[in-house]
Amino acid sequence: MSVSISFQNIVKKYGDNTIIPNLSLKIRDGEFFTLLGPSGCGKTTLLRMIIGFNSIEGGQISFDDSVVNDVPPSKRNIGMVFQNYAIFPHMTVGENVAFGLKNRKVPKAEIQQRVDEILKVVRIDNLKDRLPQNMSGGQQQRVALARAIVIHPQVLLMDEPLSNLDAKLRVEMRDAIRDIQHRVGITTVYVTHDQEEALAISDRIGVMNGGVLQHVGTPQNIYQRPANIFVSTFIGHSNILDLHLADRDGKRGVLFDGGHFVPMDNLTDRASGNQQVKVSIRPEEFIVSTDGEGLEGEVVDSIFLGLHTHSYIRLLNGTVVETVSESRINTLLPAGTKVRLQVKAEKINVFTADGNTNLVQGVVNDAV
Amino acid sequence: MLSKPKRRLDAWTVVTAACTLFFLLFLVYPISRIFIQSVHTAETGFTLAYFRKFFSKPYYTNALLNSFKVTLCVTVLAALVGTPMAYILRTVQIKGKAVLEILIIISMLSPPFIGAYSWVLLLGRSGPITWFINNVLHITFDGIYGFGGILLVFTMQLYPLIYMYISGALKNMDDSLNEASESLGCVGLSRIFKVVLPLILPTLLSGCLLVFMRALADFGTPMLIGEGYRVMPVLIFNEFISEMGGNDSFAAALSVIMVIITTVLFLAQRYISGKKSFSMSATHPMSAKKATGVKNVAAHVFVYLVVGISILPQLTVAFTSFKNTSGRLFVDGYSLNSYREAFGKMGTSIVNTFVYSIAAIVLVVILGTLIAYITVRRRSKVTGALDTLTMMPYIIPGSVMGISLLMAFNKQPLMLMGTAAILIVAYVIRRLPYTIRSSSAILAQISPSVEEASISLGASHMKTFVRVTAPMMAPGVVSGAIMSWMTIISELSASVLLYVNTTKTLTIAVYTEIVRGNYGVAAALSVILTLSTVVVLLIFFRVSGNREISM
Repeated sequence: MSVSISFQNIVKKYGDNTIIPNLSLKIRDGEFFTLLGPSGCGKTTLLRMIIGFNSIEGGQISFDDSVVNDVPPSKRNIGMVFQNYAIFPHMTVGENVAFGLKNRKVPKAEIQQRVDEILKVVRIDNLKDRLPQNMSGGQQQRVALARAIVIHPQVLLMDEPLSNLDAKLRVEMRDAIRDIQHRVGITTVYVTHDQEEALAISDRIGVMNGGVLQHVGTPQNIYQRPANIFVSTFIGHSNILDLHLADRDGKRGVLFDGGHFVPMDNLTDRASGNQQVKVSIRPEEFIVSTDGEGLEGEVVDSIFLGLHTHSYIRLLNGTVVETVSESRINTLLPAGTKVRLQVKAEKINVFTADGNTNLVQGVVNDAV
Repeated sequence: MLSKPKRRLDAWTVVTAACTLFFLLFLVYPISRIFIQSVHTAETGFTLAYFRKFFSKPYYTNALLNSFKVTLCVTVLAALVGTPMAYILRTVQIKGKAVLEILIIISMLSPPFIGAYSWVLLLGRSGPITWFINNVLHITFDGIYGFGGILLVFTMQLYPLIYMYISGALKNMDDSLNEASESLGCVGLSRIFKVVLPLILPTLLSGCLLVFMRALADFGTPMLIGEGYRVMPVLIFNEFISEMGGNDSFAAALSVIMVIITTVLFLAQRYISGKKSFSMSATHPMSAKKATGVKNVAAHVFVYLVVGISILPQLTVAFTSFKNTSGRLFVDGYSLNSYREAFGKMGTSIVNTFVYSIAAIVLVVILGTLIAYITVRRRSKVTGALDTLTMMPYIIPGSVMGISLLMAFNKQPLMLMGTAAILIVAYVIRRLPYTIRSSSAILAQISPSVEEASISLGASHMKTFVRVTAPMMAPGVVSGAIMSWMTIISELSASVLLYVNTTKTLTIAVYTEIVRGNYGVAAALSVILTLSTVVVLLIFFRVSGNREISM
């Protein structure tokens, strides 16, 4: 039923303005694939090229082995869920969901049966005869989802479907979508700018910037071993420090200002000599202590957020880094406290000085 | 796989072509005919003789000056009456507001010349009010004819346009703007002048333009109440229609002069409005508050007085329709004789009115929604040009439209003269701009993703339009269409040139009966006309469940 989607050297232009210069990608059969990136990166453009609302200026898009470039959108058999849901306001929930089936000339009895079935799956069977006008965002979203999957599409596309919902409902719908996708087993392409949503929902994520896929991989891989500095800063938060590689006691590692050396045993062969590097350290990859070994620093400010406490610490060279640790009972480090920072060497990432290449082993990037 | 041509010829391409063709045939062609006719004759070739003739004789130029004078005064007066009416009815609780609003709409919808005729009945040489002024107050008053009469009729007829425009704008003005201004120490009149008026100014200007165009183009009113006061539409009509000495080319030249004037005004209004337009939408619209003391009394007196005066002609007509007549004179006693005669004489005109207006409105709605769709959703050079083209009827006075259609379609193979088709075409062309504007505005509110959703579910472009887009647009389009329908049945300026005996409509029948002096029948017919509009309006209110009509 569902298919794989291949992009071969895709080009998108609006007039002389190139949005996507040259993009290739393969989305697997049955996979939940998320396009993630800042607004204007071309992710929605790419999504709309899959269904055919946007023209293709170069390259080919194929479902399994058949090229769909010239197939009109209404014949591509794709289900789509829109950011504003795009529910037909003059039809009841049942009529909305039946719309695609009627266009496919499905027999009446079967339409009824399939509509009832899918409304149960998305848990709004009680709303079947209601008009969508006064329904909540979450309910409308379920209608949109039911309407898109009831036609048994080859591919399901979702364009920021949760961005109009409030935070709590967003998490609930996120889990519902993931659950339904698993049950239906349909190839799904999902667009979002919300990285937490992407991490939670996807089998694989494609991080886009400037019309180029920066990193395609599993949520874990993208977070833990980002392919370049853009990915490392876009997904989660990272402190970026300009440092040098060095060798000490036969071990290669990173040399901090003030002489603190962090040995690393997972650097690739490209990391050589004492080349200049950008080191990316996430706040949770620091261990803050008031005594012992480590980088010297001074607390600038501490912010209590319940589960965690964020501390901003000024290093010897004046750089301020953000750290995060589990909150302790009744103690916040006051500003001015002298602290020592340890680094979890196995977790941090080291990039070439231009930020384009990760020098740590374990990057899995299906882009390129 | 073979690559297909990039732009497929789909249903919308055909629609675009058909609509463009319609406008080329029924608008561009007739109007260019009139332009050519004004500077070209078979004998002499190119000539400016007709324009020279116009500008060399005060007899003609005075008509132009008169038109300007009366139209400017009317516009100012209508704004001065309509704006406070709208503001008061929006902000002060007025007793019987719902009824007042319907009365305002009714007074706007009846053809202006019926107003003119009733004012002649009341304030003419033999009118009861004139008699009162002369014999009780002993003031010499010769009846309200000429400039004053035209001014009175137009003002009372056209201020409702300003009222409706301003009322709509005020509805979109958030009350927090008033509260903000109050908190900054700006209250009362100073708030109205510093905050409210500047915000509604663009709306006021477009309302004024519409009033100006209507007053400038109206033919029936100055014809009936103007007596010696010559204005352009009357001049055009006479030049074109009079059996001796009538001159098509000269009438064409006069038409061109009118069109040039209205075009300049239209562009000026656009320029000013474009510079000063604000987009507003109110989450907390102003609500009508209960006023007390002098303010309350003054507000009620003003509103009731204005509505009373504007509905007076309707009452007069209704009253006289029951009077007995003998030949052309009213005699004592009351009966339904006039109605009997009206139905006997004018049965076909009643049928014609409904058949033509419904045919026209169906066409207007279909063409209007289609054109709105292609100009909003399928932007291209062609649809852009079509968009501009569809604005043209705004600035073409009814009589000019009538003449141009007659000149263009008076011989084979395009012989439409004397048919119902030419009337319907005139109605459609004249009303389309309004429906297209309102439909475009409605369409702009509908997210394109709804249509994309339909396409993604396997519906074709046309099916999407029929099943999804059109039903979503319908409520707004229909309320605009009701308005158009009522304007169509009271149309006179163009149809008075285009009708023949078998295609006479109610409005024309009223007019011709007045001209012939059969006042009783005329009154009965206009009551029938008004009642039809009121019934339709009430049905519409009931069906749509709201009391807002859009222009």
